[in-house]
Formats: sequence, structure tokens, C-alpha cells
Amino acid sequence: MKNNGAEHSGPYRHRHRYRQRFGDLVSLLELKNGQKGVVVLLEGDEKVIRRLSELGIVPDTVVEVINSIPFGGPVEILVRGSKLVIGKDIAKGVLVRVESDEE
Amino acid sequence: MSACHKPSSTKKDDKVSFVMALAGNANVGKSTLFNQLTGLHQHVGNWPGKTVERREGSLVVDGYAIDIIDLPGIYSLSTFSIEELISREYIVFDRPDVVINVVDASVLERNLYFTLQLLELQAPIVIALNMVDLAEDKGLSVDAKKLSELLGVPVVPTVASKGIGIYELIRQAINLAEHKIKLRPMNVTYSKDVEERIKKLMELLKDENIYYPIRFVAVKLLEGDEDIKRRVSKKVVETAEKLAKEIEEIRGIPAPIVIASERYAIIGKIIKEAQKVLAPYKIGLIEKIDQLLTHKILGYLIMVAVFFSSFYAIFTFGDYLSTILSEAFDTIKPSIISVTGEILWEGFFGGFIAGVTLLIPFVIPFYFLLSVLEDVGYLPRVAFLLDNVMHKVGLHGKAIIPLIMGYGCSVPACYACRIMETPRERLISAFAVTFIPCTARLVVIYGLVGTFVGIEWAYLLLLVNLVIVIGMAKLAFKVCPGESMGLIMEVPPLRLPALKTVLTQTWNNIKSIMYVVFPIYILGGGILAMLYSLNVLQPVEGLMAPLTVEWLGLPAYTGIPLLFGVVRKEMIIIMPAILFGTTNFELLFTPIQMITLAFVAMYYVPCVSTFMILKKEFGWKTACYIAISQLAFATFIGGLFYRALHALL
Repeated sequence: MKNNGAEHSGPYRHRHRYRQRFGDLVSLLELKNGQKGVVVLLEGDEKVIRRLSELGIVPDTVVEVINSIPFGGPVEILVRGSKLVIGKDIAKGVLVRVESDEE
Repeated sequence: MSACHKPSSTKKDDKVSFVMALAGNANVGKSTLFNQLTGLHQHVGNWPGKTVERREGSLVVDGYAIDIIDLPGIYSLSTFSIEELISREYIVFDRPDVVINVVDASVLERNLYFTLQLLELQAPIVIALNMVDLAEDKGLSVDAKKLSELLGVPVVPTVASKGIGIYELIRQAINLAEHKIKLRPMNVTYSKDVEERIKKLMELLKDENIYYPIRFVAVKLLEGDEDIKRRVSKKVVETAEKLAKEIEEIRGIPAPIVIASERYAIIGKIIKEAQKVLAPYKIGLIEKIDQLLTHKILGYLIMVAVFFSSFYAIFTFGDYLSTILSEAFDTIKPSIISVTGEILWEGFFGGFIAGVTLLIPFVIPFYFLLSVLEDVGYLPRVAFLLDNVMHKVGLHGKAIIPLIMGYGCSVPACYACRIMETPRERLISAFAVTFIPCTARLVVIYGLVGTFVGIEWAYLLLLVNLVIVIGMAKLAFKVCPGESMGLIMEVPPLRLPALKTVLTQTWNNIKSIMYVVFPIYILGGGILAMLYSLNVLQPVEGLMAPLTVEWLGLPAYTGIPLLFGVVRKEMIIIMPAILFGTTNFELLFTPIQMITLAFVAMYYVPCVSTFMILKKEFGWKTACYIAISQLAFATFIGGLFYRALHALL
């Protein structure tokens, strides 16, 4: 099924659609420690996205960044009661809508 | 499709015997449960043809003989990793009488994702709702009865670490194996869009000859499972791909993610009914310590302190113990008259003494400390801290775990490289591991340099080693083709180490080393002493002299020990000790020779056991490449090193 080079950008070819619907999204890397976000879309390698989804990082899931290492280090997040560490390159592809604390 | 249950309960020694498999996520206490169930009746091997550890054990309870298979810790039943494929195939093809699904009650939501797939696979499951104590600490209460009703399978609350609920669990499992209880597993039902397409595929699959439950196959096909695709006809695969595309068109996200989301939605409903939040989540003392350990500045300082003090403790304690043991042995040396007796004594017994006085004081403390760090849960924290450093050499944080293990023994460390996701990452990390000084080499460094030249020189060698390891990994990263995946890792909670677990773990690690090492020492020592008395080794040393004497500046008698060192690296100092009857190496080497010899010993070639593991994991060619590159590196740099030391000192 490798006949279509245009699919290289991964399974998500609808980013613009989401952007229209939800306004600006930020990646996990842009969240500060203690800040929460709702997963809207996942970008990146298909295998990585599937692994993330199996660990519970799917659209509409609340994730909280609890720790991070500066200068290209990983982020530690709390998702569905478990703590996960996610490398920078992968975290960059997890796009969330920032959740304000009052909600 | 309901495949009939094979009549697996067989009578053996008047006992009914069953096979049960433990399955579940990593870090849920599965191994603890396995140890509790089987005690010392364990056998550790490999899955046929795979380099994944297979742990099997047995127990007898109420007149039943039960075999327990500990499946690898996994998060899903897809086939991205060998572990997942092994587990899935074992459950489907070997048909254990019961699959005991161990779930962590404190992370129930994520754990049930795996449970749901076991249900889809129509496995005969009993759930061990483990770590209920930890869940309560987190303010969560899980209603086991409710959970059991919802899932339609038995659920037994357990605290494996304290042995709570284990008898009840095994009773339920036996009842299930004897068909005294009947499962009414819940139907995992997806949304209409997805269900329609599952039904379509199931219709097509009716004609296919496949061992898996048809519905499971249909779902996995929509998830794009490569292994399942190979098991069905091309027509089915094409239809499945078309249907998956349709789902993606409707939902705007790929079918596998739709399916994962819907599983989590189903779990969400279960959680709502079966789990109560008793107290709001609050940050406790352990949590505070965790924050310090992973702090962006303090975390690194603590890490350096932890590793430095570990080495310091091992070196000083090892030295202390080694001296005591040596003195104890000196007092029991008998007076021997005959020459043959002398050879036998010096050789065989000398090998034994060398093993006891050099290996035990260093190897046991190392593995004890490693087990403590492992049990506490410190290693994943280090992986977090060092992720970006590891990225520079094409690896990610998790690779630090095999690298640390490399300071113990390269063999288990090379095995541990399978925690890396891609073949390339596995190769780079295994290559780097072979450059890390294992306890055998640490014994050489410490026994020669640390004791007779100065401890600061031993540390210097270790620091230089770090630079070399990074450089070599970087080189491998440049040379090896293939893909790297980033870090996705679960962080288990920190906890106080349990002495029993630590001791069992230490014993498991050192057991094989001890069994292999002592015979080699004793035999090697004896053979060496005999060969020397027969004058057959001197010509070999002569042949090696251009390299050992001319280029590396070592005494000619280091030739044979270096050859034997291929078997075990400690032989490099144990042999001279046996031959000259002294562990006072000052009499045998100059300080520069000691440093050079230790340096060469650190790198010159993987030992036989490591070579065999490399061959098994990566094939002959790669193993030979690694060995040759090490030999070239050690001799070339070793010679330069010797010259540099000469110029400086």
C-alpha cells in the first residue's frame, strides 16, 4: 500500500480541520508543569501514535504535565492515573487544547 | 467458532494438573505474584527461538499440581513487540487452562485496556486485582464484586507483596479450570460505524481457516495488525484496509485510534461504576522525594552522588572483605612435598581462592545495590534524567538501564537491550554495553590499579571509560542503518525496598555467574599450572610478545592471561596470581604496566559468554564485527595510552 507518497505526513491529514474547530492547539512540550490539556490530535509516526493510544493518550483525554527536563529533555505526564515519560520528539506530536483549572 | 476446550487436565502422580499463565502490564506486581506462587520452584529460560525470558514455575495446592507461566509484561495484545506476539500466541495456541490477568488497582483504567483485549481473545481469565493497598493510599477504592459483574469474570483482590488474597485467587482459578464456574464475559461492543465493519469482516472470515476467534481477527484487521494480516487471504486484507479507510473518513482519525478510544470509553463506563474516589489526590512524602529525584538540577546531583557512592561502597567493602578472605585462606595452606601436589594445590585450589577472594566481594555487593535501585524504582527516574543525553547517540532514556546493568555483567545487560523498541537501538545499546566494564573487569581495575597505583587512577579509568562509551555509541549510531523510536515509558511509583525481593533478585543475578565461574576458575587454574610446568606456554607468549611487550609495554607473561581472559576477564589478574603465588602485584608489574593492562583488559574483546549472546541476538557477522572492532580499539589506543603515560609520568 505504498503507492501514495502524499500520505507521508502520517495518518493525520486533517490537522487544519481541527485547527478550525478548536482554535490553536499546543503540544505537550508547551505546557508548564502542573498545567492540564485535553488531547485533540496526535501527529507523528504511526507506530508511536498507536503506542500512545494504547497507553490511554487518545482524543478527549485529559493529560497533566507534572515534570520536564529543559533543553530537549522528556516530559512526565499524568494520564488516566498513570505516570508516563515521553521523549521530546514524541511529545511534540501530542497536540492539546489547554484546560483552565476552573473547569 | 467457539473452539472446544482441549482436555488439558491430565493426571500425574494422582494429582490433577493445570497450566496457568500470568498476564498483565509491566509493574503490576506480576513477578511478585509469580514468586509468591512458585517460591523456589522456578525455571528461567527463553521462549523458543526468541531472546525473551520465559519464566515457569510450579506449585501444589489442595492436591492440584499447577504449572505457572509468567508471560512478559505488556500493555496491549497488538504485535508491535515480540513480547506481545509471544503472549498472544501462547494464549491462543498453547491454551493454558486459566489466564490470570494481574491488574494494578491503583492504575485500573490503563490496566483494563489489556483486560478488554483478553476478553476479545476469549481467554479463560481470572483477574487478580493487585495492589489494592496502594490504590487505597491513593484514595481509590475498587469494588471487586461490581467489577466482576461488569466484566463477567472472577475478580480477586490481592496484595501480592504481602501474600494477601493469593489462596483465594488460585482457588478461583482452579474452579475455572475445572469448569465449576462459568464465565459470562462482557461483550466489547464498539460504535455503530465500527461494528458494521467488524460484522462485514466476520462474514468474510467465515471461510478462512484461522485459529484465532473470528471477531478478534476482524477487530485486529481494522487495527492494521501485521501478524494477523499474514494469516488471512489477500482479499480479506484488502477489504479490511478499505473498511479501515472508511472509518478514518467518517471519524477524521485513523481506525486504530478510533478503536483504542472506544475501548477506553468502554473502560470509562466500567470505572465509573466500579471505582470510587474516596479522598482527593494529595502529594505525600514519597511523592516529594520523587520530585527531588527527578528535579531538573538536583536530580542530576543526586544521580551522580548515588552512582559515585555505590562504586565507592563496592570498592571499599570489596577490598575489606577480600583482605579478610585472603588472610583466612593463607592460614589453611597445607605443606606439600611433591611437585605434582604443589601444581594441583596452586592450580586448582588457587583458582578457587582467587574466585572467592576476588569475585564474591565485588559481584555480590554490586548486584545487591543494583537490586535495591531496581526495587526502589530508581532506574526509570535515571532514564528520565538522561533521555536527552542518550538521544545524542541515537538511543533514548531507557537504554541507560542495560548500560547500568553492564557494570554487573554484560550478558544480562545485552539481554536487557531488548527493552529498546527497534533493532537498531538494540544493537547500538548492546554495542555500548560491551564497552562498559563489568564486575570481572572492575575486579581487574580495582585489584591492579585501585590497590597498587591509587584509587584515583581507578576512578580516572572509569571516567575515561564514560567518554569512550559515549564515543563508541555515537560511532555505532553513525554506522548502523535503521530507525530509532523515542521514549515512551511508564514510571512506576517509588517504594521502599523489600528485603526479600532484593535478596531473591540478587541471588537470581549471581546464581548463574557463580555456577559458571567457579568451575572455570578451578579448571582454568589447574590446567594453566600444569601447562606451565610442562613448558608449553612459553612459546605462545613469545609469539604474542611483539604486541604485548613491544607495543603495549607489558611483561611477556601477560600473554597467556590475556588469552584466558577471553573466557573470563578476571583471569587476567587471577592467572599471574596463581603462577607467581602472590596477589601482591607490585612485584609483577610497574604502575604504568598496571594501568595499561587494566585499560587493555577493559576493552580488548567481549568474553565468550558475551560473544555468544551477541551472536544469538544479532548474528555471527555482527558479533564478529563487534569483537574485531574492540580488539583493534584496545590494542591501538592501549599502545598510545602506554606511551602517553610514559611521557607524562
